[in-house]
Amino acid sequence: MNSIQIAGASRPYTREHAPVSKSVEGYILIITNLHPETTEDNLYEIFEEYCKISNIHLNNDKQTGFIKGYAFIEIVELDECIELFKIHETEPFEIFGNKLNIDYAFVTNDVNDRKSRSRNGNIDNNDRDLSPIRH
Amino acid sequence: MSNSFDIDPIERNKEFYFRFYSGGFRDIELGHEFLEFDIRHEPREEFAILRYANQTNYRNEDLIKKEVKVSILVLQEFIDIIRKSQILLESDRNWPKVTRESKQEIEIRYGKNKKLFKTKTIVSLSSIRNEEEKESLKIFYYLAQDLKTLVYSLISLHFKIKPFRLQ
Repeated sequence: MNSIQIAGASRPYTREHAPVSKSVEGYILIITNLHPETTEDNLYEIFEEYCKISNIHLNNDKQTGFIKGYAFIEIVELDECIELFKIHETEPFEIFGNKLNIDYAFVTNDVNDRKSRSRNGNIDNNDRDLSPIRH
Repeated sequence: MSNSFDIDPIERNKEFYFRFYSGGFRDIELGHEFLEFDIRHEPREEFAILRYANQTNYRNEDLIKKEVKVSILVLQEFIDIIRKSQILLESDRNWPKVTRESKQEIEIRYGKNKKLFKTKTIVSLSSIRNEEEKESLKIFYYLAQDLKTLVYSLISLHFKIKPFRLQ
């Protein structure tokens, strides 16, 4: 369940059902459980059939030089993200035999149709609060 | 304090908190310069909160502060990297002590368990070559590096505008 139809518009949600937040250039997806030898080309290869990837971050493990096991991809069109998750639900994507975990990376507290969860009643406070007490 | 514990990446009914700090008063003119980020997950929430702060007084830059909510899969990757580094088995007892000029901290809280690591800034691996605890310092160094790249990726993907896009 990665999207819900509300009055014709589809809203994206994460696996845990948190409303997705759009980033400045598009939607950011996180992919985990990647094989250490995965390359950017592997990612383009399996996803480009369903979506246009506008940015990839595939970070290395500083110690081994192989990739760390996660990647971020940026997709501008929401429809393409939803399509991708639909495919992933029926037949999970794999690279080198590793079944990938994919989800949106950023979420939001949707003020309109979700009550705020914060303890002090603030809806969405972007200011940093104090650091916790150090012992 | 030095007893070790493990984190269950699937468990979502316990509070999880991780903080990394690196900085110090290196220069009278530049004052306090630091990089700090933390990630917090409250029990049963379907998101975690990532905060990032960077203060450098070079060319009168202001404090940069960012806060963003990330999904559980991002949190799980965070926890996964921490667990695989095996930092939770280490202790900072024999590490170089912090100084006013350079301080690095990693704080990990999971439910009632808590661990805090403190040492002076590790500039490079060769700078810790002669330390007694160089193997555990190496774990700290690589964990900090790996988490920094993860956080930089998250912050830049969410906030940074690309100057132009190739079509």
